[in-house]
Amino acid sequence: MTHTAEGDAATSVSSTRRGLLGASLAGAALSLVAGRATSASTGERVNAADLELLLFAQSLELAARDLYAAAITAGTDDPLFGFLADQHEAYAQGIASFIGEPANARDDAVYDELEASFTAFDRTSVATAGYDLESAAVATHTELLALLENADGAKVIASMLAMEARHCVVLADMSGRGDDLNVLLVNTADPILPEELS
Amino acid sequence: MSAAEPRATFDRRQLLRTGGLTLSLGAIIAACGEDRAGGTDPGRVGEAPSVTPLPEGTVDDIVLLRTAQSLEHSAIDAYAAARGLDVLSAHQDAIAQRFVDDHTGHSVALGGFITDAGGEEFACANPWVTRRVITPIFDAIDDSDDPLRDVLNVAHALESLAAASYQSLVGSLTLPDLRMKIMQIGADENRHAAALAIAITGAPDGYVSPLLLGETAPEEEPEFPALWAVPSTFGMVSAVELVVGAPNEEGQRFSIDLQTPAANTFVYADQSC
Repeated sequence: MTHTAEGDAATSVSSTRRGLLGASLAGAALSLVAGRATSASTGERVNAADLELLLFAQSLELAARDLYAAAITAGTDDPLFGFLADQHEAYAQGIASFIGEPANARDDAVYDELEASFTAFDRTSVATAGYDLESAAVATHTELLALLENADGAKVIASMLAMEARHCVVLADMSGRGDDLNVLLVNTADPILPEELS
Repeated sequence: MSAAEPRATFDRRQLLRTGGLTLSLGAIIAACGEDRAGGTDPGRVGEAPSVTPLPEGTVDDIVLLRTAQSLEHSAIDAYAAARGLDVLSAHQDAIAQRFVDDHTGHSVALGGFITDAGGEEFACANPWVTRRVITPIFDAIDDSDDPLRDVLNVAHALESLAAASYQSLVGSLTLPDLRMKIMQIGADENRHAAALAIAITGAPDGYVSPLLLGETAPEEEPEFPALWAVPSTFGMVSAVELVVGAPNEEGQRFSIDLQTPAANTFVYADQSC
């Protein structure tokens, strides 16, 4: 996991007015569920194992942000992809706010594996790739909930997971599969887990 | 008062004197009393039956899971009532059936989690939600000017409530494994709500709240809450607003805020179907 120049470029793409709005919403939402390092609602400290898990979730969010940003850079400039990049940026910042670590290290392996599918210069293809990514994010965050001991950390992850499940429905519809109830409602994706857990 | 007139029975000085004497005697009698018994409850008048205090309600993982299971059955009952109005098209009815099947599956799964945890499942509707939410909603729809609109909005509101409820339970459940299982179901409810939002609002307008796209909110509040598949950046656990029914003489429709589970909604260990 590294903080790449490409990641910086993608950050500048997503730092729009919407990005600021997303960040402020993230702050507002997290002020309800979490503080920094020690959590606001339970006072429970984040242990080392949980910290690793949350950093991993953060890196996945940054990879997702950069993948949507790459689609926009490649010319598939649907406002929804910019919005989704902002959503994932907000999630990474939300985790950063909770654990007190900056959000600056994306998961390069995930990014490299999926980059080609996001730069297809075709709205439907990118929506399909986005659907697969969001489905994997939901599966991943669901798995993380079983591993996280910190209740407030779990609340942060759950609040992201909830919206990522909704992203799936939007992307299913955008990719022309809105009439297929199984695609709309069922998640068959495998989680993306750190090597030591998979 | 002239000198010839008789004196009044009580003048001000005499009244004070009599009052002082009464208080003094009362204090002496009270001081002399002993071996007095009796409850400290407020006094009772008439022949009302004695009040049985409610048992202490302990909220543990089993209670939270039973509550979640009861909400699944509240949703199933609501879909039955909605479909009974016979306003859904065949396509809409098929989707409703799919949602009912999903909720039934969730209830079965939750029942397993409950028994695994040593509890007794609660495979019926939440009594509080039925009494305070479902019944008033369908009473309001009885004379609706657009029952189909209302039925779709009710379905969306209940799915959104279920989604928010599961998310809210994550912070209360003590075991990570249960948090995971709960949010597996929560993700399904979020998908239901998102699919309904798109069906009701239409695509692409129903995809995302315009506020999240940097647009400004309309100056006037819409008569019915606007619905989007993605209404916020993070999943929220705040109340879900629902408006249904025909306007009354003052132009107001029935409006209710659906709240995630709390003390009165919990299905405690002493409750049974």
